[in-house]
Amino acid sequence: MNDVLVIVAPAVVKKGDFAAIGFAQQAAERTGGAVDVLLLGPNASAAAERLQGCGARTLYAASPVGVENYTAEAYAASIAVFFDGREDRLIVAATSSQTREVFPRLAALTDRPVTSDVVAIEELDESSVSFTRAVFVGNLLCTETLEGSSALVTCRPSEFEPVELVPSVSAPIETVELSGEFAHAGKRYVSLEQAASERPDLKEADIIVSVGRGTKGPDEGIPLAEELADALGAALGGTRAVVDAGWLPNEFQVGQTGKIVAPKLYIAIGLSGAIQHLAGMRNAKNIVAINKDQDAPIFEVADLGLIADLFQAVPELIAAVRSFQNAST
Amino acid sequence: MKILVSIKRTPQRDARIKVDEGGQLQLGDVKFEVNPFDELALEEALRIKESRSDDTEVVVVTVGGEECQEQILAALAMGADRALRVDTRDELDRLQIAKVLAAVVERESPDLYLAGKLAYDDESSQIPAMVAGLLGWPQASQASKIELTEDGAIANVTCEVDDGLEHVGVSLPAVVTADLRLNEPRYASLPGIMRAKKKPSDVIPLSDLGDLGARRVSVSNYRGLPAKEPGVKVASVDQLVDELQARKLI
Amino acid sequence: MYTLFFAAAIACGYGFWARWQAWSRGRPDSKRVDLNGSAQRLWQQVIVQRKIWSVSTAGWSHSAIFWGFVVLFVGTCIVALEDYGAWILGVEHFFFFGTFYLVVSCALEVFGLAFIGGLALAAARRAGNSTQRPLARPIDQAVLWLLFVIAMTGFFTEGLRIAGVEGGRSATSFEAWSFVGWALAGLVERSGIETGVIRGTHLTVWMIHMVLSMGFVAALPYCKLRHIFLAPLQIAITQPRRVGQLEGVSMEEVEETGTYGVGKIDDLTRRQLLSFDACTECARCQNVCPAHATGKPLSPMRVVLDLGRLANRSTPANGSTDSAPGLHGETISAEVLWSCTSCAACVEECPVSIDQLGTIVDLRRSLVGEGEIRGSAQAALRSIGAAGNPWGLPQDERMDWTEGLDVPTLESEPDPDIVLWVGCAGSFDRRSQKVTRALVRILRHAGVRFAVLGKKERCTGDPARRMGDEFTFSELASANVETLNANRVRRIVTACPHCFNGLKNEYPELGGEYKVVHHTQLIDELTKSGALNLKPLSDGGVSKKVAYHDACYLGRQNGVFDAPREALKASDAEVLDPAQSRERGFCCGAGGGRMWMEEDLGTRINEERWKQLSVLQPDAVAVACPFCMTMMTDAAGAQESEIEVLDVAEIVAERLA
Repeated sequence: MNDVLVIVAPAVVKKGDFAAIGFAQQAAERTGGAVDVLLLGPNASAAAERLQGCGARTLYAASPVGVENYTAEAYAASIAVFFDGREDRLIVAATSSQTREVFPRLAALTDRPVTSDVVAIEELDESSVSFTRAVFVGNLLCTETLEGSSALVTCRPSEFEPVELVPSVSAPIETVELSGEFAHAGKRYVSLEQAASERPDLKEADIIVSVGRGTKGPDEGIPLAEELADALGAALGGTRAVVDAGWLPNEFQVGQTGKIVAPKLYIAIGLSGAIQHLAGMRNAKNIVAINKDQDAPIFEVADLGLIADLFQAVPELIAAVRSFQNAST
Repeated sequence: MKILVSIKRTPQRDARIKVDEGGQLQLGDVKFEVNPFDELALEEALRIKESRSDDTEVVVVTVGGEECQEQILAALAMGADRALRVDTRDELDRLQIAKVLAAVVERESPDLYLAGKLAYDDESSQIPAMVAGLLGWPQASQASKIELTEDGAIANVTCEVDDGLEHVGVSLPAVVTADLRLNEPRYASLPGIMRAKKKPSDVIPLSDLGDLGARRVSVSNYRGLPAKEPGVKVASVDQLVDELQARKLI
Repeated sequence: MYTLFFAAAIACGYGFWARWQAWSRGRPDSKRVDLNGSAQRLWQQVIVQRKIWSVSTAGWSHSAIFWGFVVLFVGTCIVALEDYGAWILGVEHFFFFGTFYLVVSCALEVFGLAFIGGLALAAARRAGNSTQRPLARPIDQAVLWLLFVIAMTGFFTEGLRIAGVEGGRSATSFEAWSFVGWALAGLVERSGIETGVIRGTHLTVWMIHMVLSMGFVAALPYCKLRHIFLAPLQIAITQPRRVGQLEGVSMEEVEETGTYGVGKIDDLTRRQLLSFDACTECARCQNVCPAHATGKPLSPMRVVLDLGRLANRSTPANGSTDSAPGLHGETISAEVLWSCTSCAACVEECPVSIDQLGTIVDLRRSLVGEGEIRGSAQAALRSIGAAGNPWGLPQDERMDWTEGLDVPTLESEPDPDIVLWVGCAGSFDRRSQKVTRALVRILRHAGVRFAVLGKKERCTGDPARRMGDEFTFSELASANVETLNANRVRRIVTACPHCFNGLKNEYPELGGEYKVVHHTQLIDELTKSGALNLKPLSDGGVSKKVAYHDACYLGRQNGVFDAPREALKASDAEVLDPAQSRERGFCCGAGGGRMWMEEDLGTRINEERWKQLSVLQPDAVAVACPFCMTMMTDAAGAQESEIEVLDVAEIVAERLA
């Protein structure tokens, strides 16, 4: 009744899953229950090893028969079978393209209330739980309350502290045999085409490094911006002028006639901030501008402005980011 | 072939939504539109219709009050053949709405159910998958490409997933949701709206659609984000990095 | 010969009848022909050939051919009338004798020579390598040769006739008035050919002359020669309009008929269809088109010719209408239509008053009506409709530009001398906000009592209208008219030529009658009246060299050329004009909704314009339009130019005393 079940599916442990366990622990502290983890997929047992020390009571590993690849249909059906009979207060997962479709389907199959991509827990008792969600393209917050003794929820990984593994505290790995016809006759998995770029998509990225004409082209400032983007795990974007000049391909254009983005952090380098560009990025939560022209309009919208020559400042910034990252891992 | 597209009335995408002290949305001056992702789904339905030699019918459905008629008209203006509105002013939760839509699907028996991957207002991204679950239909989410086989039996869909592009095939009937790159929707302009006024548009009372169960999810206390600090100028890269770390941005 | 004459007449008649059929497919419009205007236009554009003279070689060539043709045609008619009159009345001479004969004969020689000279010049222009020349296809060369041979055989017929008379030239000395024929006769006589042979040759040459003339008559309706009749007709019946003026759309009519804009050839008006047939293929519209100059697929002439050809291809007169290609996509692509910047240079240039821009907007309307406007252009239209500005920015921020200026609104200043219409760019665009602020300083300095509408102001609808969305335009315009009328606004100043054009020329139809001035006009007025004092330079020299870029909607479309130049001169600037200025100003590339569209075909219009301006080596480029400001600033950046881009108001504000 008080337990929290974390779903890791497919069983390829990712950064977000540690945050989901962190979120589950926050919830379990309030209910006084324990955290269990269900890993689902062909390599579930091996993947479970990677979560040893996460503080879970039990690590369940299930490889449903006849389910070779991830499909929402088969995964939702097998999870439903797994927790049939269990009485978890919350069933949680990190928001991902898979859980975005598995959880609502699961809610329909098991008739439970569900919510998605929450950023905080507000209240939690036996019959009701409320979460904070970001709505209206992240411009507003609201409280969503789910009635009932069991609910489904996905959490936004960036908002929760990832659990730190303590390898000495081990949990039993329990292999679960799930039987049934899980694969949907009407669904066929064909293939997965890995994204060509190492960098995240502009629309999805938490951080965007964006360049303007001040970067002076593909032989000068743009490699610096690319290096910074890679150091930060950020997407790379640019202004219309940069795209028109052929320094970056079309799909990199941020602005009214390109992509409209709202990342958590937008780093504008050598970019003056013409209205067409501002229209495409003004909803970024934090804007950093590096420009040597102190009158550049970008400074008017920037949260942090650095008046400096980008050819000096960006290499320093890359070095600082790298040293910070080395220190923290 | 029959394609059902569910559409939602949402505040215009540029609108800056305000909130009153009681945590209620202030929507008085706000203009509404068809949820942009649902518009992508409708455009795709229209393109499928245009590319097929059979008499494909595109039906749009929405759940809500009289005010949704404006969006129904816009959808018909884009080229939908027929519209349905499940009339209700009750606040329903998403699973209840999914049950309503599943009941509509059972009445209409479409071959394909299309919808946007999420709604611009609540951004929950849940209802189409719930409908698929309730109906036991296969689903393909966040499609950037949909190709139907000539016999209309299978949809080959490219889905935008976190790791890249996933290619799947779904046998119809199925639920597919539209992502941003699927297409560029056409514009609903004056003559289309005039033609739309002559198209059939039915209203179904909510009570006709059976038991929806209790409402279990409610939304309250809308509020703005914590006020943004006014921008500051930093003197050096070191100071910039300190600020970024203090704000937990890197 | 009579058979031939009738055959030619039938061919000619049938040709024009088929054209007539093609025109009648169009919609009738209820507009009357204004006879007084027609007479004026005919005088200016046909008799005086004013428009053609804007290229002087063309003026010489075409005027010589035109007047040569007219006089020779009249002369031929006189001869025919004389012959048939005398034959019917059974007299030796009907009326064509004596002094009248001598004067007419002499005139025919003069104009005949002019005709040949004009043809030679025309051929030379077509052979030359100038950019300002008409098309030179084989058929066009053939037409020139045909006319040349007709003229030459005419002269030879005359010469042989004189030489063939019993007693030769000495017997008919009065024929010396026909000096060319006389001279040719002299040549024949000196060759010593027998009179009988001369007479035989005369008959043969005359026959050739007649056959070719009949051929010419027969060919008239089938090639661009048809403009001989249709150009004057088109000029006479065309609707008088400002350059760049668009026809409104009746919403009731759209509701009734279900058609909006031109989706198929029959949706054009009869007048439009006729006007396309009047095209002389002179290519002037194409030569001045900024889209064409930068490698876009648009040529206004091609649009006109393609539509004309399509109308004639599928007339009932020549069979099935089903085999004809469609209009949109097959005849005219969307890319062609969206390439237009609505600068109206083509309309200004056209010698036969064809409205290329109006036609393009009519076709755009159909695309928009069918929903065929996508991407960023569609997004701009939606934002204009929903947010009241093309960038979709919150109306709450419309007054942000006033920060620290304490600008009065109509609430605090209910009865101002003039209302400052800020415009969306002036309100939201950070660069243009500076222009608005400069203008406010100027108004304050001159003691003008002004107020702004503040958050009640919305986009005038200009981009929506130019993109073909009349519905959004009329919604916005009506809302603005309501606001302005409710506040009893009488006089308006604006720094945006697009707002200026809409408020001044398009709002009266919707019940909004105001005195509207552009800010450069007001500044000019204020400096001249002494209300605005500018600092004189201590040395009486030049503050800066400024290349002025004419905004299409201020200059060509509204004739405001001098006010901005005068305002600049009042600030002690030296004004430099590029070759393409005033009526020939070259668009910045942002009009017609292009501001919100990608420019991914050809080269960039703004950079082309920047080259024309920067070659003058000015200290600054002066603009008088926020869109020009954006485009020129972008171009300066792209070409890494050190030349500043400033609005006229900013240059004036620098010199406030």
